[in-house]
Amino acid sequence: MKAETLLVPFKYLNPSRITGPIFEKELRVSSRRKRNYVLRFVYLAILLITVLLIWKSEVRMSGNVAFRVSRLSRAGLTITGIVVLVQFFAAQILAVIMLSNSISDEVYHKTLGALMSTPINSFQIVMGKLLSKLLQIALLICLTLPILGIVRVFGGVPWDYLLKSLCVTLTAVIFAGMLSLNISINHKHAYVVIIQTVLMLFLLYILLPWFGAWISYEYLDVREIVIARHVALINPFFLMMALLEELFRPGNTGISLFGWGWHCLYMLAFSGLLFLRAIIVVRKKALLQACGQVKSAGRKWKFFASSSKGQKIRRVKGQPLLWKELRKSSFKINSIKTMLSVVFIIGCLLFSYYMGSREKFLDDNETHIAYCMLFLILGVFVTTVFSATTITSEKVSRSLPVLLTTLITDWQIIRAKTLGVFRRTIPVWSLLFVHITIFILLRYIHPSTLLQVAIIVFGATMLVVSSGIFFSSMLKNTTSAVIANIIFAAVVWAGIPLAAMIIGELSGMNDELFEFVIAFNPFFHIGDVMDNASGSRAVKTLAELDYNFLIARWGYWGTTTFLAFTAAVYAAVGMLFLTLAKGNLRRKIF
Amino acid sequence: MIEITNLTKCYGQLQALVDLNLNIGQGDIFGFIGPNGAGKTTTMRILATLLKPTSGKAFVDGKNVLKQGKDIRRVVGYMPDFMGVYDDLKVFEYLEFFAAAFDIPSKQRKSIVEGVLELTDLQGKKSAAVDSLSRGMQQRLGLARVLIHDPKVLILDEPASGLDPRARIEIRELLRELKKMGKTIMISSHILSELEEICDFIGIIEQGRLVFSGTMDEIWRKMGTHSKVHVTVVPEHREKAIELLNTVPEIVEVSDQGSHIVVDFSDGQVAGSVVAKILVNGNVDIVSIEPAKMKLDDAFLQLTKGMVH
Repeated sequence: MKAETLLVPFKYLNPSRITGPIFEKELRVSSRRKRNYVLRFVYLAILLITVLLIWKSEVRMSGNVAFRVSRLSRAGLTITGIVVLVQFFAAQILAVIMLSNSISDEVYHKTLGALMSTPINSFQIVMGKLLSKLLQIALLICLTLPILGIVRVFGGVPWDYLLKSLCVTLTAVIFAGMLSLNISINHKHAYVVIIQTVLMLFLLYILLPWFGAWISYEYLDVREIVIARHVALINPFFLMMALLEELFRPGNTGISLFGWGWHCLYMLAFSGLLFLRAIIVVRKKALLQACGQVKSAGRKWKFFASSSKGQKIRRVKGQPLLWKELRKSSFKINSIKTMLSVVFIIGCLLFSYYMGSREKFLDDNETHIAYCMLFLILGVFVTTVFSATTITSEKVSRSLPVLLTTLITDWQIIRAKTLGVFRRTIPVWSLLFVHITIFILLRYIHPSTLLQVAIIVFGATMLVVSSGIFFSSMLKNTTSAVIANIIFAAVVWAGIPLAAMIIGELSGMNDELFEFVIAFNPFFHIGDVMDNASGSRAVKTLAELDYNFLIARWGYWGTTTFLAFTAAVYAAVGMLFLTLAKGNLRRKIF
Repeated sequence: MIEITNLTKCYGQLQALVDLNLNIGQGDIFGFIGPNGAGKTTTMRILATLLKPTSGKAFVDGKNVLKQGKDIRRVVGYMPDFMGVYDDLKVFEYLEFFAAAFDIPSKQRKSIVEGVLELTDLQGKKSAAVDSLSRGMQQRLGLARVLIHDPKVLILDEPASGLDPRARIEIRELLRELKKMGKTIMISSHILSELEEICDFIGIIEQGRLVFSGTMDEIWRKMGTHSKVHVTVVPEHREKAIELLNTVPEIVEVSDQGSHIVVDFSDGQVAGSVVAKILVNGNVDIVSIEPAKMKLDDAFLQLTKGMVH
């Protein structure tokens, strides 16, 4: 056998051949992007704050040496557990964001077809994209290793915990990244990819396991521990929690001892399948583009396709931009996929209600706190995303210059865009209001909450809509605007309370500052409103309702006035954002 | 109709426009030529009130672009080099949207939209989705849009780019039609032969500076083409013709180009008649005498140095 023949397998295993020039190009481009450095800084800042917070709460400098050493060991455990958990969540979020435009950028800049006319193949394209992003995330994960190494010195943290959690995190990151990359093949906007990936992960990691566990427990008579072990095999979140519990209470769960290795293999296998799918679809897409067909027709439902074709011409009424914005719907049911998604969501909701009535927890106030909190998070998230696309979508489609040469004033544009977002988010917000209305009729929620929830929603949406429009007017790219607005909302409603908690701890104010800040938080508001006016309290009279705000117990009207005041503050800040957005409108057109 | 005085626009350190001066009269078609990055689009965006100049003044229909933006938008129809369209509107809805955006009363909108659709030959497409139109159709739609409020001035940034020859000819015809309607048109294009055919005035810009501005005739004079004639004689009389022409004091140079003789005069006014008289008196059989034609592309190459920012 010739030497050349013997060397063939090595030729194919050569790393530079596997990744191809795409990998190098991606690394070069990402090193020039400011946002990657900002992300790294934010990531390290979050970790540092977390460590500081835990250190402050766990370690006491007073007491004898033995006590202090035992506290150090406890602090070591807590810091490791929390850092690993933060890393686990943050790395997956980053993977989803970083790979959300990996293929779509090539598709919509029409470079995918050009790549196919070179010796680069679709395997190298997908691998190059994936590895270049994963390398950056792996770098972030590695940054935390010295912290964990130092913390381990305090004692109490076993090495195998670090190894297991690292493997589970890495495989979960690969899977989330592969999912995002797959979805990005067919979607132009990164924010759509991010939303779809998050929903898909929610379905895979929460809904399906929960449903499967319920079926197994109820109808197949499978023991809880067996179900838990099977769920742990395919669910990194569940396994991570089990690992964490085992860290604090060794030998208590019995899940992670034999599950984690298999779990990692399963996750890699699923990622491999997604990788294969990506190679095939990218190749198809690239060949289509090389042949001059950019858009794939997609599978449209004939019924919807024909009805949309035959739509009548609608006449413009009133202020034209407002007319245009208000006629937009948030989603169009024009494909089987959309239809199935809507049916699935409604089905899940109805099923959860059925389960609630069967298990008799619908009259529990905690149930309604959970539902309303979930719907509020969903509504705020969708509003945050939609509002940040308003002006950038005009910039991206290059229709903004044309719009600005008409007689429509800048304020009219801002007003129309604001109202357009409210209009588009109605279906999402209706989940919250329909839920409340149904349970008011069933006398599980007090009717007075409708007004309070409307005030809370108004305040929260005013803030995120206006900040979204501001970021949209300031930034060129839709994805950047969406991410900026999500970060803004997260800072206002999670970061500031966290900072207040840290400052409170450091300054000796304890919880006073935190409670003051949280008193202006809509998520806290909705929780408190539901806590005091649902379940057994739903049948109380208005005068009997009392709420706990700002370390005081207030009646219904006092609370409602306070909520209205908070909403007014949010609306005022929102107006400031809108004024700034108006100023940006003619400054950053192109 | 358009008056620009010492217009300067800087983007940080980069000077996109440097003391630009320009005057365009009512009803004129002004062709704006220059290499990529020369400052054409910046000038047009300033006139369309989309950009603010760093210094200098610009007036459209006597109105200051800095102070009377809204008044200018009323009289200007601006078509950018790449026209974005709303993907969820039909052609009629798109045009009616802009009609409403220009405060046209709702009762008049339908007839106005029908009118511009007819003018741009888009009647058959009025129910089509805007994003389903071909590039040529979208350019026509762009023209229909700028006409919707019957502006006095049209600012068209490369309206024919990316179009096939038929679509380009149709756009050219449409512009001629608009000129007949009395519109003042400022148009930029990379296809110089097109501008040559429809423009009354040409402005050549390079590195933000106007290197030439004037009528087509003036450009030929500047290039010296006005003083050259191409003479074609029967082949057996060619040498005799060259000999005779070399004796004339007003003739600077005579060169044999094979198929014809190029005669360069010091005074262009007498060129053709002098040549004819001398050759007829010398019994040379003339086939043709015609003034030398220079293409705008050649003029552009001679006047510019190919420098960009």
